[in-house]
Amino acid sequence: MIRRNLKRLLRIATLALCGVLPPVQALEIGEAAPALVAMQPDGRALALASLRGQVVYVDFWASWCAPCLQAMPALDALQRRYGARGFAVIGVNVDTERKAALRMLERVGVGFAIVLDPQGRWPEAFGLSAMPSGYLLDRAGVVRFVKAGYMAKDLPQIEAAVLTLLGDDGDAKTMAPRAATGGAAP
Amino acid sequence: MQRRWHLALPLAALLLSACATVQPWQRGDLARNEMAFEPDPLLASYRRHVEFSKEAASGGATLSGGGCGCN
Amino acid sequence: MGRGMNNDGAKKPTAPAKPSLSALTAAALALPGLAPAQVETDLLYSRYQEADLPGERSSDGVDHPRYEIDTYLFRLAAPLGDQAVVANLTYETLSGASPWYVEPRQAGVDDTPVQVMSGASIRENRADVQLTWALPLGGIDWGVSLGYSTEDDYRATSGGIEFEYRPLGSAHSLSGGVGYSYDKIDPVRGARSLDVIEAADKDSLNAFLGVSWVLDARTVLQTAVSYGLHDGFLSDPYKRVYVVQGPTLIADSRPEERQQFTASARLRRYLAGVGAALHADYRYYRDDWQIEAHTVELSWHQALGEHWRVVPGLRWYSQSQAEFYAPYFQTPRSDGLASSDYRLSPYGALTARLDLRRALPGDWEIGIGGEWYEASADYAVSSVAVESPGLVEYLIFNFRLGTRF
Repeated sequence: MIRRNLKRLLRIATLALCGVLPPVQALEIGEAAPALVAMQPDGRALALASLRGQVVYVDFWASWCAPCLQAMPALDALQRRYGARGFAVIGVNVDTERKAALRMLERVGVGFAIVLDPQGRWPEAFGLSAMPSGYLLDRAGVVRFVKAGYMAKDLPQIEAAVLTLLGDDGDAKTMAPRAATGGAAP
Repeated sequence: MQRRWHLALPLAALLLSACATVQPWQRGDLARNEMAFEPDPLLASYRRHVEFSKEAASGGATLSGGGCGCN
Repeated sequence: MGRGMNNDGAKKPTAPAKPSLSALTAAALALPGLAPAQVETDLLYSRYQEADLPGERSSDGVDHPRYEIDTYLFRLAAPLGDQAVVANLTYETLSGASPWYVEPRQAGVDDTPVQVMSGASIRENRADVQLTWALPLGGIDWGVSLGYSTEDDYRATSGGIEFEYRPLGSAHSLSGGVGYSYDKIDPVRGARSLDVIEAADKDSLNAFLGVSWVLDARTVLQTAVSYGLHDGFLSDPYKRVYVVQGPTLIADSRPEERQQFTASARLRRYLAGVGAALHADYRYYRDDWQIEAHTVELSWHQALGEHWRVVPGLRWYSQSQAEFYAPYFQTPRSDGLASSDYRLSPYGALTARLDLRRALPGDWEIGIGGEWYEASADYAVSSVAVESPGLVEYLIFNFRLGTRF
């Protein structure tokens, strides 16, 4: 009780001193992804729940985040490869400026679904610890794998996690080595 | 005076760490090029070289490399 | 890291985009994920021109032209997977005359110090190559640099290691570095004075440690300390010191060791309402030649639309004198040290700058800039009894061209 009050007091003090909130509670492996909805660039709403039944990689990105832009084409290639087997990527953009997001999207040119979340509701609900961050959800919408940050060498790890959830751990011919060494997406 | 300083240091550190809670996805403005400590490394290194050759003081948060026979 | 650390892979854009400054410029901020994802090249041409030494400060009463320098700088930063290489090439041509020694206008009658300039016009070239290899290792970004600089009479070979540690998602980062330089001087303009040394060298070691904090979503602060140690020949082989008793000219003679210390802070604040970033820097400097200096720099980075940026800036600098400095000496110092170099004299200096940038289609960027610098006893933090007549005033004009692909 005392501890909770102390925590609250600290939160208020921090808010008063700095005008920002202390870190949010992170979503952990085994927890269900929150029910979230956001607009796509074309104005249509997309609910995370509507992807239930598929293995979903929720990728948080921003136009100002260089490793995010490096991860996107790699994730796009993953979706193209495993999409038919029930894998989907959803890119959650957290730019506060819509224009910046759309301009970068035009540049990166990915085929997966994009939602715009300028208020940062999604990253707050997921309790993001870094940019970029990726959350892999199983077909029931439960978090099974979390990737904070991104480097080219992380791709095989992400791909292995996707394959495990797709119920396939014996695929000898993965695309990871090519993408990891080449750097550029096909 | 000495004792007051001892108090001020951890307090300042506490304040700074308390403020250090800008969420990772809220750093778009901080990521702007013009917010870099050195937005233009080329021009900055040129200016450092000129100032190094005309003034007694040098040094800072960068390595200075070799000197020159600047007159 | 100042020299363009990054841990990013190459990625070509798949669609051409409209030019924008934010997408073009070299990112170097100490925050995760700001590394350039493309090859960056940058060319800077700079024209440096010192104002004439006015007749009233010169020994013969007439104006004397001083230094002019044309500098070409080329920078290339190329990502290699998670690593990167950065190359900086400099080529400059220097010409003109420089201060030689200071004498009283008329010993015993008028003690006002006046400047004697080196006679013949000096003309020389300097070429400099700096290579940095940046790589992430053990969660830390590392930079290993090698450098070589050569002039007619001077060679410097340097190397260094820098690091930057940015815990993932953290609001703090820690950076530091250690560098070493071996400099060798081989005076070639010895004909003028018979007592110019044959050759000499020095070793320099420098190190810094910095911490940066995200104070809020629009403010970052970096504080740093640095240390420099120089050992060897630290005098100026071409300069002379006037001693009234005699009168004689003696060689510029400085201690064989120098230790320098700085403490500095750099603040960056973004003002979203006006679309500008304010930069405020302060540096305190102290060395064991008894020089103390303060530097304050303010600049305003204003975006104008999506393609233009204008950056006005002001700098103020003030230093106290080295303990063995004097415009000229009545009698030689007992320790044998002496220098009349204006750079070791007490003075202050003001700089006003203006830079203009424009983003062009196809990921090109073009820019021009100007800078005016004036040193004067009037700008010093404490009052100066006798101003050095050799204080410099200069103008710089620069032109920029950059692209990424």
